[in-house]
Amino acid sequence: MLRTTLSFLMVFAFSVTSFAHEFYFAYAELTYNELQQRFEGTIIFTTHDLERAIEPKGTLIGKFEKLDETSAELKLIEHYINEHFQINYGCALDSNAVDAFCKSQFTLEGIVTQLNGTIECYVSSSAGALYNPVQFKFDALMDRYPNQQNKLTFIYRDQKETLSFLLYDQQKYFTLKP
Amino acid sequence: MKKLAFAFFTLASGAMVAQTKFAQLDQLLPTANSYRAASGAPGHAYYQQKADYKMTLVLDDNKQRLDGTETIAYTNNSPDPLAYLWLQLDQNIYDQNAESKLIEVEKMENFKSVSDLRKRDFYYDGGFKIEKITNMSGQPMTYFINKTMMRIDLAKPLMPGQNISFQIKWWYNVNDRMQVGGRSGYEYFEADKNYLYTIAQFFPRMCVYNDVTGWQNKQFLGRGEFTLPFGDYEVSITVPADHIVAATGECQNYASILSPEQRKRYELAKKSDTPVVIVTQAEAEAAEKNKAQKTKTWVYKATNVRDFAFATSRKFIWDAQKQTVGGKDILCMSYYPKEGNPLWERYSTKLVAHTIKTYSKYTVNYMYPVAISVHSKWIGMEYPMICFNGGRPEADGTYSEGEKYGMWGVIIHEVGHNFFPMIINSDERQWTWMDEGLNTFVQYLTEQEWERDYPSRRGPAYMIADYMRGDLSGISPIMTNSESIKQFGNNAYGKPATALNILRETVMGRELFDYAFKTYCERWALKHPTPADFFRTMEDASAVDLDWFWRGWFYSTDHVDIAVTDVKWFELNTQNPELEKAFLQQKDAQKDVFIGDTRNKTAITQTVNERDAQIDDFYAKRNIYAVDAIDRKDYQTFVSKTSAEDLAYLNAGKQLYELTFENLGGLVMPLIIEATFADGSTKVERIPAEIWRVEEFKVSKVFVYDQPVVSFRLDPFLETADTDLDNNTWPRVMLPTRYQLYKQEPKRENPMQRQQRLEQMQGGN
Repeated sequence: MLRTTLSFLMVFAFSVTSFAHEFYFAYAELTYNELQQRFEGTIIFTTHDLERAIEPKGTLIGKFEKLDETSAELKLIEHYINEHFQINYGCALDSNAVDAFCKSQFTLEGIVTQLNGTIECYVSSSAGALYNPVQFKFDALMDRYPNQQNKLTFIYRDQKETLSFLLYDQQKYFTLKP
Repeated sequence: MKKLAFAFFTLASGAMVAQTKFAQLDQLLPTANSYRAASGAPGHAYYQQKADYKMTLVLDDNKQRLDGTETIAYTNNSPDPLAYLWLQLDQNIYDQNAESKLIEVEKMENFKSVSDLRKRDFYYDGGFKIEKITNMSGQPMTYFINKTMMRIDLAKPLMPGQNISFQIKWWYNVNDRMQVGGRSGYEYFEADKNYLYTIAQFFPRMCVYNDVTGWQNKQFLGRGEFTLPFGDYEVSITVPADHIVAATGECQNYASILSPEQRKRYELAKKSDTPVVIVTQAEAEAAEKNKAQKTKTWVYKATNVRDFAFATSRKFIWDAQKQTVGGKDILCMSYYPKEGNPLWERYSTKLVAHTIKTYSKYTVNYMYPVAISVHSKWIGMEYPMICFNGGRPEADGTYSEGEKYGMWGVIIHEVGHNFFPMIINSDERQWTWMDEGLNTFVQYLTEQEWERDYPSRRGPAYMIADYMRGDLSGISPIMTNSESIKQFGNNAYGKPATALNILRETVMGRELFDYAFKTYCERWALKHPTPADFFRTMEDASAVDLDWFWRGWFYSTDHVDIAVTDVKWFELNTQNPELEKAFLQQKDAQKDVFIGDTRNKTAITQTVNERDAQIDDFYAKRNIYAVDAIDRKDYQTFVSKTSAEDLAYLNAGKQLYELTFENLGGLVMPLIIEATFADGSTKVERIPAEIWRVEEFKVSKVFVYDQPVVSFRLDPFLETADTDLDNNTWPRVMLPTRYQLYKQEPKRENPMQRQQRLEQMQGGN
């Protein structure tokens, strides 16, 4: 048995077990834009869930509805997305074998909060080339809500597939077809 | 396009396909019997038990402790002798050894801070302390507590038709809802050092005994809610004298509780169509400061309810208005601390009134004398006649638009629970969807009648598509026990609400659906329905076989993805040689030409047969497009044998399209196809789902029009929850992604900042 020492952040986060929502669901729609050579997509969260996930990071976010594209707090959301929505993909070929791997680094281009309680985050990440294997990790909100389930629809040329991510199944592969 | 010549014989399709999606539900549903009829109605031998309660409650505001003595009168209307009784001890979920904590799956990643660990190990001396259980002679009764259930052993079996009374004395420490969580508890307001109590599941409650489960004594694990028999309640609640109490039922002693001025306002509210304030904010704020040390006792009575809950605080502002339903005036009331304003004084009671009025239209008339909304931070929870709802503005009284809609939605939803499951009393411990799903469906209808284009979170078909599409490993069928559901909200709230919306808008139509749905509600009002009773009634009252729908939407995790995979275009062959040979010539002239042929026309100056006239024979010289006497004679013969009506049809220029549809998602649905014509006009075709009854994965259908079609679109009104709209069009149109739509829109601006800019600009003018 491996003994590991844990170092906790001494953050006494605001935490409530009874927060009354029944959502625990995030959805992302992502494409690979071959002309622009980048991933482009939208990630949709329940607004209050994302607010509570980011609140312990130290800066008061308050209500996302008050933010606009110039708000400095958007950087916190961008950071959160890059922590919890990641793509690892082959990005260079050598004699038909992938010899370099890259990791996504998303830029948050904007957010829109909807009156039905969701927030749409528009993101892009440059990717000069895209080869197999393409691995997605989408564990947003799972550390806070164990019942959280996330789905991602990835569109590559004529391929379109929806992948499901759970607390114990946070990584999925997408196979690019020639 | 192809010309179509009819062959005058009928093809018989002899393919043998195992019937699955349209198989009747026979094996999945319980066999109908004398208690529950095959029609979905209560059977002629239907029975239900009755549990009447008399309770004396004392709240200690200093210790946050509730003491109670209850007398239960239990009537056995079943045909079975009962050797023991089962009661629910819901507060025991806060016992340190409660299973609900033990069964939580955990990973180290769940604990990112010390506070996470402290929360996990938070100690709270919760759970019922049962002091004694006695018969009405004061003799102790034998009982055994199994976690959240308690069995009372009877000295002799309770025979059919008999009743028994007994008394339980208990107490428990009320939970700090903000720390411990839960559906009820207290909220402490640090600023004025006062408590707001929302008290529920607070007394040992009888389990349901019926023909379906026997005793429904499945342990309370936290998610699957409650299953309770109906009964009458008489409850006296002793609280600090300056508290205002809101409770299930009608207060019997306002005369001795309220001030004369408050009684006058109360009488005014009973006749008012708009909210009248009974306890003002100023009165509540005065009470907050003074903190009475004496107590008062509020007495309530409630008839034919399945539960009892109450709220109490000296912080309460109270307003009320009447709402007439079925000729009866219902008193709609709200109780809220000042922290709820300005949202609560403006909207809560009006939302209560609107909700019971609208739900009554779609289900059954509201049956109780009062309907109450209590403000309780963060939560939304329902009990008979009373519910606890979130929706709190900022400390400075401002609120966002989203917060407003959140508050509206939760009040409509929780008040709506008066109908599901308080009146139409399904088994929540077993089936969450039967109350949450049906309630969310009527909530959607009610929201749309509150405000045009209300941004409802659930209901419309397209809103469930993201959840249902793709990898199915993380979702469960709707017909899953409450404790085992994956994706609780989407599964038990969103998907059934969507399914009912699809039935109403697309499969059955509003008239048939509304009649059948109301029939179900009327049949099972103040009774205990099961899923089978719902499924059967919806079919019985509509003459629509919905077994395929229940099977697909409620028993499977299939999703809707129907694609238009092929379109073939035909015109009718008129047999008229003048027309058809000209058409053939035109068609040949339009054929693509091989590049070598084009170049040869100039590169080869003269061919052999162009030089030598002896080369071309009959075949080379004939004109295949010329109409000759034989052609004309044949046509005359055809005309003489064909009716005038058929000839007219052949010559009408009909355009025929054979569309092929593939079922990629597994869930069969009606086909709604919009054809757009060359002149810009459109026509919508609606093909019932039964088109899939034999071939479940690929079907075709022919449509005949008077003019050419330029495009087809499947599900143009987003009514089937199709998860991939990109394969719904012909010619293929790739719909823009959300990202692309966002990039096409102009720059966004915070609405409040924009308003400020506008005002500055106008001020500058």
